[in-house]
Amino acid sequence: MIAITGIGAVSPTGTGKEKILRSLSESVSGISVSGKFGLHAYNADSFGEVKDFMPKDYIPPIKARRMSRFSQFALASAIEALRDSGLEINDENRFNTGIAVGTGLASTDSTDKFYEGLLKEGADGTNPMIFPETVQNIAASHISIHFGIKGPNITFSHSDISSELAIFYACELLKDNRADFVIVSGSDELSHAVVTGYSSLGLLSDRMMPFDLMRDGFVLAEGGATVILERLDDAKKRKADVYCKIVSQGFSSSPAATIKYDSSLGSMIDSMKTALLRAGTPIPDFISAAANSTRELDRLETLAIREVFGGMASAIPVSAVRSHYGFFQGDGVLRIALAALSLREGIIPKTLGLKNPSPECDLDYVADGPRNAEINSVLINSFSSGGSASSIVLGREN
Amino acid sequence: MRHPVITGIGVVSSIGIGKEAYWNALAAGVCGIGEITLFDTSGFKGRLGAEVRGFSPDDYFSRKEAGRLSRCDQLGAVALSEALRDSGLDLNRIDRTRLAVVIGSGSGGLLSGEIFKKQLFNHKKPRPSLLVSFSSSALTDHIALKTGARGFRSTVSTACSSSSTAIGIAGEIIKKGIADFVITGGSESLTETTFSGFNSLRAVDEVPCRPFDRKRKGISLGEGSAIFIVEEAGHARQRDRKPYAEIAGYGLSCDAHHVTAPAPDGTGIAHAIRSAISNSGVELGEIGYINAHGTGTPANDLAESNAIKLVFGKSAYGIPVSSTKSMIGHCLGAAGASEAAAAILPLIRGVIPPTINYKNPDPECDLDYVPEPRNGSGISVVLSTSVAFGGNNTALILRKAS
Repeated sequence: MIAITGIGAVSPTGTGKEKILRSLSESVSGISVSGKFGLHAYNADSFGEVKDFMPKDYIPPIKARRMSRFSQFALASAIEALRDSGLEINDENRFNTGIAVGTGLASTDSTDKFYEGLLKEGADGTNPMIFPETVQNIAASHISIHFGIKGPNITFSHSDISSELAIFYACELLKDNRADFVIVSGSDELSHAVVTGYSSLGLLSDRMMPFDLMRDGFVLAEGGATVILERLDDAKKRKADVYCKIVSQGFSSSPAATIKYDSSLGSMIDSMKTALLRAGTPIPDFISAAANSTRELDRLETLAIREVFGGMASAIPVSAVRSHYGFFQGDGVLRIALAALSLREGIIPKTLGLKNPSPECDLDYVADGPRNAEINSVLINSFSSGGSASSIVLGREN
Repeated sequence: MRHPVITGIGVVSSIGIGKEAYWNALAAGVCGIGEITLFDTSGFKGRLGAEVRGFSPDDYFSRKEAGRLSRCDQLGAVALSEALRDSGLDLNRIDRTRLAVVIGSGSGGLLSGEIFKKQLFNHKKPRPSLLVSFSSSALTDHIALKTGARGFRSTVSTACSSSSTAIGIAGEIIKKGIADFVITGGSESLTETTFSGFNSLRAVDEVPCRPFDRKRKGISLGEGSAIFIVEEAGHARQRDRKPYAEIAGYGLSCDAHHVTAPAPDGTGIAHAIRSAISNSGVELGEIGYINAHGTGTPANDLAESNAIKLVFGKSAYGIPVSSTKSMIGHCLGAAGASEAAAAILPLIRGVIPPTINYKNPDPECDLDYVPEPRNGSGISVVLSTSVAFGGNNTALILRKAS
């Protein structure tokens, strides 16, 4: 069994574990009209921007200046998470520590700026300081360099289940004794380029209102989060503070076009069933929904939950935490961190922005939340456009 | 014990389309590096690259389909078709919930993204569909769509080691029973960003790259795709299919040294190789050929030679080490897959592919770099190393299937 023993976060709802916990219990929204960067699209000017993050609080300024926000979010959250876990990287463990990162689009700002230099000034306009930040594995590299971590190092970039694949891989590394600790980060950044891209595909909205009749797309967001994973026995041996256990994970997929969700429901049903079966948990205490306020996904996830739980579906609280901060592809680790905190603190987060549920969305979405409850298990759904699905069960460690 | 074996291979490369053409060219030491025609290279010092010439999307796709696929995905889709045909696997007769897709991605649909940006920059209305293929998972999802795969799906993005790691994971999930069949490999197209990026780092040679040569000055970029059909050995046996090779195991490590330069002493790469050896259960002495990452930069080739000496000691001098990048260039996200398809040449044809352009021995790189194609019959285990920005190292071990 794998344990989560450290949490760090840089989120639109606040930087640091304490702040994201407060956002859960006070239902604070991290979505606002773009400030610092003046982001806007023809159909949206609200974003889930990270606002209170000061890179110098974590990273020496001379290094931070050369990093993309994508890298900064991942590294800062990793620094916080590692501190939180009480672990120290030293010569004894640097080869036995792994790093797994998930990112949807990595540093679109670096790629855009680099290419713009070329368009403007040709070869002379290309900046060699920016180019290394354009690769997806740059955040994982910064984490390894910062701590001197030399074990397995991997980055997944697979749409909305990028972070979930990083979690999967970390658990495998631990089970196979290829690593004793794994730093798992998920990060993505907002940029003018990514806003232009999503906006031209017509996917953006100004408000998050999952399952609501009026929902019309997602608010694009950014952020990074890190969890520290280790084998539960080892964590107990070193008397680590265990947030919860990763009890099981199910993966599935269905053939679906790149920007479409799985309308057959097959992958969603299968990933939930697999995770629940492996966990031996027929009914979780709540579901952290993938729902991102799009017409398509919220409806499909509702139908899939109905299909899996039948008559019991209405009795399970289904909470969409993306309503708090928006949506970015690599947000899986942030969602796991939030679920781990929910589990420990006994909070089922409120789904913000839901006023008039769609008739096709007829479950208990915790619109009246947050609720206090004893929570022993959480099911975290991640369903990606293109048809990939992951479901993770987190369980209380007594 | 479950054994993952390769039963289908598809290749698109600058030295030939189709695996037979690729292997013929590798065995003959053909160079695919030349002038780049995909975009304007004027103003750059290093102007050469290994482009897939004569690739016409119309030969393979309807206009509508071609419009939705980036060049990277087009190369990958063509390699996929060949790999499937080659494997003889009837997808209608297998349980496709047990069919996984694990692909390594580099710059993916960046070339399409560049066209979008250029239109925007020139105040033209850009075509949004250019962005559909921008996601790193675009090819993975396309392969799943084409084959109806319903199993585990993942896209590894560790720059230049992506597809080597993907192949390692493909083997691992078969060993662990997570899948019975895996479509794996990688694809990459040349892009203006990567081309000008490596130039900005002064890492591109003005002449075709010369791995391990004393006068080496940098890489030559390349493009292409290699896709493999991997299945559990028992299944291949049942359908009387003789495998090309077995994916014995793999190892990963990180240098924790620098964002673009490898750790000079080679300790990081050495750790990945040791981890691959222990994961695959082969003996050190069994490894008969090393297909090196061998980019042609002064730093990489030295670090890698040092790593091989660290792991193999004195016997390093007796192992043929070559870099097929001298022929196909550095294919970034597709490098690991293209090189895995080259690394097995001794197992399939008994030939060791050479490091062409190697003329001047470097006293610091003093291994046997195989300047000419050579007889390699008798080799049963091969190692392929991949090294990426940020010090992400992968070592992959392939062996003759029993």
